[in-house]
Amino acid sequence: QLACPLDLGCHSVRALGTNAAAHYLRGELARFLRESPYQVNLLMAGHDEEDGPSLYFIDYMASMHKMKMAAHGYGSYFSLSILDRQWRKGMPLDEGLKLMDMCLEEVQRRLLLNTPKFIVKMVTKDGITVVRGPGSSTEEKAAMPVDQ
Amino acid sequence: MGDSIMSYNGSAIVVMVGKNCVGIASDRRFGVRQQTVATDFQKIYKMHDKLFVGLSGLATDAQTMYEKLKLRLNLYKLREERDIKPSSFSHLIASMLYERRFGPYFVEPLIAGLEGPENKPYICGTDLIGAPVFTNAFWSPELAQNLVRHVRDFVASGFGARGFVEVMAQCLLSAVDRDCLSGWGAVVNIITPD
Repeated sequence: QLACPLDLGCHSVRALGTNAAAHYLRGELARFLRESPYQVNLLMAGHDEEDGPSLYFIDYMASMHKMKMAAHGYGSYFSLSILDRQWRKGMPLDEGLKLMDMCLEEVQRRLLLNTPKFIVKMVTKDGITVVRGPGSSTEEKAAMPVDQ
Repeated sequence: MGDSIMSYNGSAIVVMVGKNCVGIASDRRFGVRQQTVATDFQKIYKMHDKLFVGLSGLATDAQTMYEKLKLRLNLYKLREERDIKPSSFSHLIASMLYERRFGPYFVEPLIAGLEGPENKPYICGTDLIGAPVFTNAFWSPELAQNLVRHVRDFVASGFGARGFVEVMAQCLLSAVDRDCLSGWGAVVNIITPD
């Protein structure tokens, strides 16, 4: 059991659920939207015992939506199309990673800026693992040369 | 492309009065300008058994507005020990919006409910600063007005609940077919006395 990571003066010893964290974050972004807005788009992914894995898409304007697959930025124009076509419910892990690789490959191919290295992390009931990039067990799988 | 902040996320909501029932329908698209991000976004919220509110406009403000309304309604329920009347609710929304007259929430809410013991159908729409419109037939927010102009041909006051679903669905679908910023499915909610 983790202590409440947000020091709100509460004595909670329950881990903050993904749903709660996402709503909290949305509330903060919404509050600051009309004061001094945070210019960050984010995706919040977490695993809970009751709800299983969940993914929340939060805009810089604090629009939030729980989604099965999501992307931000120019890369999203390509990633979302690939995900729409390939993603299915209950995909096994290796297929999911292949799908992730496909998206990263497309982003590297299609966008002007060279982005050779990505970090991919995975959240499961056992915690967070680095799957691609520094600290992962498959070090050099991250970059696919663009001209191949 | 949204040069208007109200069409940034894109949405189309319609409220209509039928025979002994009211309906509120919305599309399901959540977009960022021209890109569609999700196709299962919720824009209509049930406030209580006889009251629905649809929030069109900027998604973030719609979500914030819903959270504020939920809070106000929960407090109302605790104090008054009854559910709020749709007409009171529409006045509540209007005043909440006007509080922000010079820095408004970019939402245009639509209210649909059944009022009183006779379950009289009630619909109302307001603009983003709380100017209410009470009609007997149908309403939709400003940007969708052009789209649902043909709804006048469909005015459903004679329809009972079952036919009504079809009418509302067709109205909304033909409206969103003409608007690239709304669509991707529709949800139709009908409130009847039971």
